[in-house]
Amino acid sequence: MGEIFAPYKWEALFVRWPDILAAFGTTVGISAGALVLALALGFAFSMLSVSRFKPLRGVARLYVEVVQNVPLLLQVFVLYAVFPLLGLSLASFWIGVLAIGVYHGAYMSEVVRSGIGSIHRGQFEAAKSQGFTYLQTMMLVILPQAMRIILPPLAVQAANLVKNTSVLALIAGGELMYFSNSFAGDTSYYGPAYVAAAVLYFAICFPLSRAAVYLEHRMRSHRHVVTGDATKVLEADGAEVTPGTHDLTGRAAAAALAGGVTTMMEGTTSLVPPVSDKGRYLTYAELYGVDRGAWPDPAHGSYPRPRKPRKGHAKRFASRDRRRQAGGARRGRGGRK
Amino acid sequence: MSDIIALLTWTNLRFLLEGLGLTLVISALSIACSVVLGAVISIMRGSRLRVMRGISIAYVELFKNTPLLLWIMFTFFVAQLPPLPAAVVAFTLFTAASVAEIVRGGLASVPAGQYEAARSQGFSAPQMYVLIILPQALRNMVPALLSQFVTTIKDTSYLWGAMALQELMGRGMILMNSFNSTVQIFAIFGLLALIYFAVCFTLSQFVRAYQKRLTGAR
Repeated sequence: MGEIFAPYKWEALFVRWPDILAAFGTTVGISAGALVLALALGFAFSMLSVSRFKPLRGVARLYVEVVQNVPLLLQVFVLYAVFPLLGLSLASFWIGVLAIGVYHGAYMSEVVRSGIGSIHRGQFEAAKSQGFTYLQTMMLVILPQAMRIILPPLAVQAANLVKNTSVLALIAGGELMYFSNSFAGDTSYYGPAYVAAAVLYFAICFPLSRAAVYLEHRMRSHRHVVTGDATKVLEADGAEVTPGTHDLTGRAAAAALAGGVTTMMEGTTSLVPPVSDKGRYLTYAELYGVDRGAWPDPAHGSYPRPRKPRKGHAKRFASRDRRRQAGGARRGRGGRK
Repeated sequence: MSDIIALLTWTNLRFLLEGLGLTLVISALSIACSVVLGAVISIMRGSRLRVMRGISIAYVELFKNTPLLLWIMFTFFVAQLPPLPAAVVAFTLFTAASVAEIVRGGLASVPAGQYEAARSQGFSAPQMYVLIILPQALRNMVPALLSQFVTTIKDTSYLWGAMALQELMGRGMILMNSFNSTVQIFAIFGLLALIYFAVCFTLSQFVRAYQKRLTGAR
């Protein structure tokens, strides 16, 4: 082990720091370009996939299924080896942007689609009744709400995208993984080359996946602030409550309300919801078996029946219910009196 | 046209399908091993010992944030394993991080009463997990594991470029050496895409159907 990571090998690697930096820059550049393309394709195709017109939905479905079920490397090779035969030669940088952008566009479109699907159909109906056009409804009403749900898995996808730029090493893409490979091949100092690459990839991907966890966390606490009267719950527990600080109250309330989950495996409750196939997050309906009417899926006819209150519900939300019965129109956070 | 007929012989197709066999074997082995490793990691995540939790978190974060190709290179060149074990080890290590999250979801789906019942009957922690919890959790994990299987099948295509292991992609590239007219290259890529698509699409449709059944049954 000591021989693999001998100091002189590290030295040989660090002498090449301008090349490392350039390769790192290429990775970042390809990632940025591919991310822009993937986001554009993702939003565009998710719009198609919630369209009322069957052919458009079909096109979106076809794109997602074909791209997700064929290896990324094969798609890269098609751009690398087949396109030149058609007289279309691309630089490896643009092969990377194009192939990885298209590949992750399919995943992002699934993420956005499930985000839109989780918005209550009443929102669409309300917007329509107010005379919004389809585009206005999407841009002004639906997407801003869906964004909260979409953002965490999008950040995960962005991290995956950065990791996947490494396949370009196999077509001499000039990015980080390629540099490590060629340095290792030239010098046979494999250890340092790959450890350095691992560190650099980690440096890009770790913040992205932390961002995903953070956004997830914020989204969940926000939901609790909106739906449950967190302040009361916390005051009842004797917790210190600062009215007006969404994050603090929300987060603590989320922990308090999720008490049933945390007791079993203490401190281990996942903030990341279960992931379904294709790496997207489960929708609300899949997760809880409750259908909130995911418009515009034509399968959903009507509003869901109101659920029977769960055990302990009455006690937990007693203060809220009392307030609703008394005040009627009074809504909003309990902290503001 | 004669180019394509020359390519689409039974020998060549069998040559490719053998590659598919290797792809499936590597993927299946890796998934099986990573379920074991992933279960260990996710149970460690729930441990009372801080060190255990730390190791588990560090493991998941490390493998979640570095590319798979890097680990393939690592096991092959740095750890100097022979190609096939190197591939399986790299895939197992990498996939275990994702599988650990899947197992965690599966464990959480088993009602708390099952844990308590097991403990009250005097089962030790390993006995409880192996005999009582994991068998129940596995049922809910099947769709997610299968889609992980699809991901692994797609990712095995790196192995030809990284360590010249003749899986499906490698076999395709080998064919391309002897059949190199434009039409034939098109046909080979088409064929590879078709085979991958057929396998992965079938599996992912199965996942979808199974998931529908699971959520419908509840």
